Amino acid sequence: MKTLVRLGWRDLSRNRRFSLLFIVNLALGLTGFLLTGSFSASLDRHLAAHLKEILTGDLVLQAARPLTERELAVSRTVAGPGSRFSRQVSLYTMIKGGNGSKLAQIVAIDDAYPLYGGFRSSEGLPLNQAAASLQHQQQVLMSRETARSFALAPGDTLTIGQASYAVAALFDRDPGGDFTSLTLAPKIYLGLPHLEDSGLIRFGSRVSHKHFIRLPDTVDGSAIAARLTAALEELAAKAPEIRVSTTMDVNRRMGRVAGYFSSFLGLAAMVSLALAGLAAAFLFREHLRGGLRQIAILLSLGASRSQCLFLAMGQLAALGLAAACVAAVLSWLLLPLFGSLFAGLIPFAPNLALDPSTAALAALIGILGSLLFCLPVSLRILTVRPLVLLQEEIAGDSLSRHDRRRMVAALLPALGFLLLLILHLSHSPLQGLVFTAGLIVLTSLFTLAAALLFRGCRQWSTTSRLTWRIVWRNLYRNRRAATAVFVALATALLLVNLIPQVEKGLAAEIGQPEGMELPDFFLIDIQEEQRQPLARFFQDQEARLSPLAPMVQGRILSINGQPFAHWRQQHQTGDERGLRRSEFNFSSRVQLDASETVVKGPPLPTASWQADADRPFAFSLEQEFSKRLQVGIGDRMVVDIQGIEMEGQIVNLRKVRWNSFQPNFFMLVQPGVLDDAPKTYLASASRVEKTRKDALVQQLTTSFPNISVIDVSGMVAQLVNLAGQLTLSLRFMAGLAMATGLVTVVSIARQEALRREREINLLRVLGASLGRIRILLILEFALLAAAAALAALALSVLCSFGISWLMFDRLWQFQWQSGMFLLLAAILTCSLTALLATDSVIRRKPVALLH
Amino acid sequence: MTAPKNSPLIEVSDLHKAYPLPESGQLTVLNGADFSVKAGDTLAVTGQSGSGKSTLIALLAGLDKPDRGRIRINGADLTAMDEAGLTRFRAAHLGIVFQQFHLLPHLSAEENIRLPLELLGRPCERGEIEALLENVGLTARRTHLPAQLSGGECQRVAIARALAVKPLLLLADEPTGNLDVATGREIVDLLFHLAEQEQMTMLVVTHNRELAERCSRQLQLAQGLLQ
Repeated sequence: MKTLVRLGWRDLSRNRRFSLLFIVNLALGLTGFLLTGSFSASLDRHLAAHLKEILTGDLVLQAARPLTERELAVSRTVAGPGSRFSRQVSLYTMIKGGNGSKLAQIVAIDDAYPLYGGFRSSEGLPLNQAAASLQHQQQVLMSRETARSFALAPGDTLTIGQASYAVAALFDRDPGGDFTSLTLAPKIYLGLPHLEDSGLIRFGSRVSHKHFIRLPDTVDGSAIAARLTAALEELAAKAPEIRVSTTMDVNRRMGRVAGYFSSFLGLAAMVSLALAGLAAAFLFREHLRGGLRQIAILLSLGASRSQCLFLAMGQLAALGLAAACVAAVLSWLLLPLFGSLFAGLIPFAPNLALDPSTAALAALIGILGSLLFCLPVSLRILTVRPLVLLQEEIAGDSLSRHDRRRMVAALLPALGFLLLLILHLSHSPLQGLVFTAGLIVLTSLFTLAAALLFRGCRQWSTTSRLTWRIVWRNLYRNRRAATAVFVALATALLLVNLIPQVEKGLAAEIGQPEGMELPDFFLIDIQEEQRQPLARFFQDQEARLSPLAPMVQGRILSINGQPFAHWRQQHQTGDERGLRRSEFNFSSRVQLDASETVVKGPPLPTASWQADADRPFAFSLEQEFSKRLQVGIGDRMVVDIQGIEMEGQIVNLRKVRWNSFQPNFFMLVQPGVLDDAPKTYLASASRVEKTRKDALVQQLTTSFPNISVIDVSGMVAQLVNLAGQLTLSLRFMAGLAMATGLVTVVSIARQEALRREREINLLRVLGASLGRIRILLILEFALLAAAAALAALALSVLCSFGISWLMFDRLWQFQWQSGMFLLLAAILTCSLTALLATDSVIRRKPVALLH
Repeated sequence: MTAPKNSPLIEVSDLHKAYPLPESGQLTVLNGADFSVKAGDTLAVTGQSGSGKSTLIALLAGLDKPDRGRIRINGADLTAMDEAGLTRFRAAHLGIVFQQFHLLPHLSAEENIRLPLELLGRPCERGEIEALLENVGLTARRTHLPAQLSGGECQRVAIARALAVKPLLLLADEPTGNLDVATGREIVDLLFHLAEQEQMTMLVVTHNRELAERCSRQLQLAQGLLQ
């Protein structure tokens, strides 16, 4: 054992370049995994430590109306003695500040709020006194940034609705948290007793009522939540109107947002790891080729095959462990940078640290990955015959068909290992399988392309020009190594080019949806009597107002005769967004908006539905929403619209382009259904001159103080920024994959040069200059890079189109600039890398040929 | 383990070995070879290139298996052993000297010599290695790597390595084939001196007439038979 360890160590330290390349290559592959793993773990840790502060309670009861005394009494009874309650009412409204009017979220709180956490100043000091004063004085709290945007300072006054409030203090951190950094409007806190003075609570106002509950430490929150849900559902005769949330729900929601990014990045990291595995196998294959003689010597001296296999495996395990250690150091250095990539994606800054369990897993992957990826190569030890020592040359490649089959079969554990890792990172078996299958298909396609290319090289090698003849022949003769370079480069380049292809189309579509006019403003809470004056207002302003869309709140009572609560229990899909609530907005229109199309079923009838008719009215559902509700054409739903029960039948499904920022709804009903219901309206305004935007909003909020105006361009900017942040983090991973791909090129180029040392020497003895030999190498690797880049570009265009078609509603634009840049960069980098990697071999004296 | 003097150490009977040709058919290398070697004898096997000399040494070393026939060394039937058995037998009882030395490049001269003992798990006395180094005249070069040694020195290390386990039989495949005449002569002197000193049986495959003539017996391999 000791002898074998010493032998293994000597071999690795003697072949320093091999050891170094192997470690760097695998370390780069593992770094992505460690970064994403540590990032996820840091997020989880942050969430676990701050869940109660994020929710500001153990439980939250949420409804679109105030809770009745009875409901509150039941809640207090279920929560039990020792529990504490606090109340919050919030709504959106326009606020006039020192420099114009803007939409804000007014959050009215009682004196018990928050039950966990608190307001903190920029110095991190608690603002307890200022928060308490909200209950006694007409004052507000807002963030420093909000104050800046409204041009306000502590002591200044601002008007909310019909009342004026003084700015008490500015905070840097408020209790609770948002689920993404994408926010509709900044929050302004005031005392609950002073909300009524604003006059904002009136019919049609979309108000959210929350009651936070803090339970004694010994009480199980989930059990209380379940009992509360059951008790409140029992109180509500038809359908629950109160949603009960726990810290687990917050964890799930925030985890989903964060998990989406980290699993996406994790999969990108897997590409790096797969490339690293490919390069590792190649490096070890070449290393072992040189080591076959030593294995034969050991066998001739009495070492057993298992000892020789142990020697090779031990070396691989040591290299894998070393790579994991290097990756851990690299990740530790890169984590702050990696964290900054997410600055705009998540609303908090977790304390990023290298996760010990991820590091341990990385070490395991390093060791096991090295062993498994190199298993087909390692098994060659079993075929080495010491008899070769009596021959002049050690024949390395003479494998029988049986040996080859065994080597191919030995690839399966590595593939299984990769699949397991992908499943672990994607958190979704389907996603993982699709990704693995995609990776295998891509690699197979690239291998096929390489095989065709190198077959062509054989034919082209009949050219009379010596340089080209040698280049084509070299590519053909060394087609196995060339295929490995081709596949590694093409896969890395595919990933690199895929990102701009998808990103540009997405950003362009968000900023300027194809065939659509993006509105300047989105108007909500328009009252019935304001319809005509509003139309006139925009006419006077020479701007365009879209048709007003009515909006009525209602509840789904039953689906196909089953109470909605039962239906949602039986039709859990994992995507709870559609089923967690029973209150929805309903609208009606004679003609569909340009941003929506019926994809299944006939259009809604234009004839007005009569309430006394004995047939159900017609429903149109947005197709994604129908999937979440698990309903389809023909299904019947009973709804309660403003106290009146009506039955409708789904007649069609619509596809909505939400990025159009037009008034759109999950549920449209046949004309006539909402006629008698009191309703508010939504609209969008466009063609407003840029220079007049602020003035128009100011005039609009003066004339129509209850109407909320959302600046669409601001939202678009936020979305584009968010997409930009996401692609930045993806680019980081793609860069890592590219770096791994380049290490593959270095490894292979160097090994190839070493293998061809005799040939290079012979060329030099025969009179070829160093320059000519360099040109040969440059041409060979440039051709390889160009072919790999072209194959990658072609497939990335196809893949990006597929991704855009499947995930982003066919939003796709061909980006030839990034493709061309990558093509040139790949050729240049690959040639230079190959030249540098082979320089020392080329420079060796040809006198070696005489030995 | 030592064999009694004059008792047959190697007994080879009806040895056949053929290799398949790339296209079709096969090349017969040994076609019923019979011979025996007494303990303490030195035997030279000569023959033209491709006559099967290396094949014979490979079969005797247990590096390859015959198609037919029997090989007994010190009573042990090599043809009845599996690969693991052959490996154990080779490690314990045989010493092999190759034409191309085949030293491990990253081990020093001393470490190369020590290696077979370590692989066998035998205690490795420092004095024993010292003696071997002294016998081959490399005491001063003990820490040198093979790349830092001349061809003759490498072959001396290889001889010392072959003798480290005190083998019953020393097999040498063209031990002077890669050396100049003077160095070759030195190596031959060394080989015979050590064989005599250790009372060791030696089988040498060689083209070198001088070397062959120093052996107590000579056999020529031709048309698959030993004459």
